[in-house]
Amino acid sequence: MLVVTRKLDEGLTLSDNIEITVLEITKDRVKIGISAPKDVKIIRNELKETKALNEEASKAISKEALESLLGRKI
Amino acid sequence: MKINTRDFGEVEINENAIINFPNGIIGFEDTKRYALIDPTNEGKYPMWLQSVDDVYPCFIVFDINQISSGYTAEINREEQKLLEVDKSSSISFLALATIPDEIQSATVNMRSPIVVNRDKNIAVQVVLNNQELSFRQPLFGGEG
Repeated sequence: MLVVTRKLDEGLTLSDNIEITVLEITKDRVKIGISAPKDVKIIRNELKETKALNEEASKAISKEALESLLGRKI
Repeated sequence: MKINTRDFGEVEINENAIINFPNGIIGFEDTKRYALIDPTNEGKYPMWLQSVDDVYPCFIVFDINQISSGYTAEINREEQKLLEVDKSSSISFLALATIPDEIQSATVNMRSPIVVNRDKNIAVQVVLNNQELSFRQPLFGGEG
């Protein structure tokens, strides 16, 4: 991972067309502004994690796991 | 009505108990109608959150209030509007479980609960900002 230190109102440009600016810094949060073309998808990491976890949770479970979950043979 | 389920074959469900997800579940946005199936008919969790219109998706869920105490979740205005909740609404929080073959390693997602308005059978999955809540909380104790 590339690590860059930036101050308030400073920013970064990715691939010439994605601009990231530090808009506000408080004790425990940073407000970030992103200017990017419409087709660039931006999602919070928590959402990405949730999506991956939902995908995993939707997978079929084994017969053994199902039986122990139900506490009896079905 | 009868529906085809992933884990229990054909199951009879009460049409009035169908839960509507206006936004679907994250990653499964196209599926809007689910039934909460209680395979043992004992009112105990886990229950199966099963798509009504297809065999997939299907999730195994736990009622968070039954597996954890003092759970609180902050739901934003947009989510409240979707859920059509007011002060008197009866709300449940369901956690999606990930069940590996080694069931002792099962985890539940406490960070992204399914919030259900029980009065209206509307549900929304929310992603909470509270970093103390785990995406993968062990289901069976914390001893690992």
